[in-house]
Amino acid sequence: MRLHTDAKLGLALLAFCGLMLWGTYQIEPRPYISLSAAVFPRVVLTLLIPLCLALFIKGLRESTGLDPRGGITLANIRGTIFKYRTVIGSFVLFFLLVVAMPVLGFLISGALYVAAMLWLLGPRSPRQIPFILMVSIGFAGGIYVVFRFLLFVFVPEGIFF
Amino acid sequence: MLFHNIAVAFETVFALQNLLLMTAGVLAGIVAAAIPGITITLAIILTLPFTFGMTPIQGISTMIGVYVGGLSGGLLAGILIGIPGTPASVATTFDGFPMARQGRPGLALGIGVWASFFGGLISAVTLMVFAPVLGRLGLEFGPWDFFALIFFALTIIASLSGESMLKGGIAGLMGLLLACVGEEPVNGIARLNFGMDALRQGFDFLPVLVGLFAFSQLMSDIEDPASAKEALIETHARAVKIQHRQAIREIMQRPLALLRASAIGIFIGLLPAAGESISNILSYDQAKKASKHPEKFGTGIPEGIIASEASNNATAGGALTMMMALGIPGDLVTAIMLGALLIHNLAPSPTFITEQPVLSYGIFVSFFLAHFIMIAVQSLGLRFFLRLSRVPKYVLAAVIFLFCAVGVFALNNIMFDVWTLFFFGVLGYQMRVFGFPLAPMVLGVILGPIAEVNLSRAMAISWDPVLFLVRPWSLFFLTLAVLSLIFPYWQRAVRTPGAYWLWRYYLPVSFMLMGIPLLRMPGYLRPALAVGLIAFGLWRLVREWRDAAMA
Repeated sequence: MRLHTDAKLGLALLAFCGLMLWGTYQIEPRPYISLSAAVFPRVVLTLLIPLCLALFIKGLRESTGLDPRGGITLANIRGTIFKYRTVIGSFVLFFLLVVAMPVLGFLISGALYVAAMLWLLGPRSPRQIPFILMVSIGFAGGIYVVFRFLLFVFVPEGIFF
Repeated sequence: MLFHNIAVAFETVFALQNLLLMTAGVLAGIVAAAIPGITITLAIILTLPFTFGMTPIQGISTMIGVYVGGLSGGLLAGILIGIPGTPASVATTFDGFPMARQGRPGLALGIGVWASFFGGLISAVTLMVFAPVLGRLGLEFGPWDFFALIFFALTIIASLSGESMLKGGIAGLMGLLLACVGEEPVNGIARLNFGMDALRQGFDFLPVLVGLFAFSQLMSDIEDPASAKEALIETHARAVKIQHRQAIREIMQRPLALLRASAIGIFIGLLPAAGESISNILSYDQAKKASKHPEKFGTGIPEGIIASEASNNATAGGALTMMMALGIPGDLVTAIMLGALLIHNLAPSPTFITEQPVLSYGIFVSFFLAHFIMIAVQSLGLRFFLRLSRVPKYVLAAVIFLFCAVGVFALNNIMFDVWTLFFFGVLGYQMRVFGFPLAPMVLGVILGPIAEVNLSRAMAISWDPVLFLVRPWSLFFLTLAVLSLIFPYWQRAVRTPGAYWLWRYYLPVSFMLMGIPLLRMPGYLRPALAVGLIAFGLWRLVREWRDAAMA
């Protein structure tokens, strides 16, 4: 039987709640405090777990009659990746930005990031390159100057600057 | 004597240098708040060093300019791009952005700007007269009362979820749970970090907010490769300008909405450590519940914008009163202003207003004046911001993502915050795709630590849970919480033909229940109000019973 999305979400949330509940039992107990550090998260989990269960049950009810061909198959996975390709690509680029920032610094990594995003999301033609360079260098450079020299706010620094 | 002090304060505030400084502050606040990733708090922090060389009134006036400008600037991004520029404008996006998308951005902006203006003016005038009285009200709260207030705020999370209360409840509780990650706020005990030092500091509120809202909204905009190359707003930017007259007319046709939002904002502002991030959502929810057409909220109606913007500006007035009257900051911004006053050897306290009347009323006059400056700057600066909205979505997405990253980094100068931004960005987008509302999670993250701290304080004083029911304010808020949980079911029941007959008694019983804790409060006004509520509830109860008997 193919599961409705809500049922899958309910299961995933229940697993997460289980992990967090286990985590509350790893909290170091301390004497002489009014409220143990584990109490509040456990109270929250006590309320959250039934709601996640309700979502799972709701999803199970809606699972009856679903077309089995819509389940997890290679073709469907490829289709989903293709449908969300710009979002996935954007998140991957942001991930690379965060990894590169402490190494290359904000200025270089930021300019590269903006350029890569504009190339990924915008019209990809050689005529766009000057525009991409102008925006990426101009914007990253502008933020760097404003934050660093006008506002005296630190930005991530790398091995160069 | 009062009018003499106000007159001298006017003369001080209206000095040319002070006016220029305030204008610069308002402009800086609007620009800072209009860009997601830069908050009013950051703008105020950056303003603080500039005030060291100024007189106290100049320094505070400049910071108030940044504050007021920031509260209003957040609506620009919220209405035109759908991303709240600041936490104070989260609820503005619920109706402001849809109204802009319907081809009425000028009206949406006008309503937002003028609602901010009127809300701020109402709070400035009210608090100038009633500041001492309102200050005493906030002093009555103990940790039980704060916990009960937050419990009440959390119960409205579900009502903000619209059609999916189950998913809204899950999102809100997940927010509470995620706020538990890190060090426990009272004793600093590490929890739910699973041995990772990086998680020990927990998730800062700002990267969570920016990640959940900014990333999810922008990702939704660029999801479709074709539409990503279009501009954010279809309407030609040149034709868009703030529709002042129509906006004022729309607001004047809804005086009750404006007054209710301002009252909520002032009250929230008086509560220590609360702020406009709570008041705009609370006010929006109350406006929705009080409306004859709650289903229209979220579709682009003026009431939604008025509720949010009037309350957030009114909150600033309440927060300033707490700071000046008691020396307790009403929110993080006023905590920084308190620091600015201490630098000038001025310590706000209950006697501050009497000992420093010119400075005190100068602060109120500055707050009053800043709103007029805000109107002028918003009108003139709008074209610049509208030019931004004509830029294709993919370009704005790329630069805003980068700006969010550096803005979040600037808060604590640690890369962990940027990683938090990334994580909650992914989470926020997934929540949008699967139909989970975002606001409840944000509320949970904000309110969770406050609730836990107050619960811990209450337990430290006494383990007796009956105190939550015995203390009048605590009982009042718990009563409101229970009524708030039942209210959506009542709303649904009254629209259903043949609904269970007991539902018709919900409203009268609610009035009577609200009156009981007020009856136990000190003074004469509140018990008198309680008697009125109980009497009205009884009258409605008898009337409903008679109607049921005749039917």
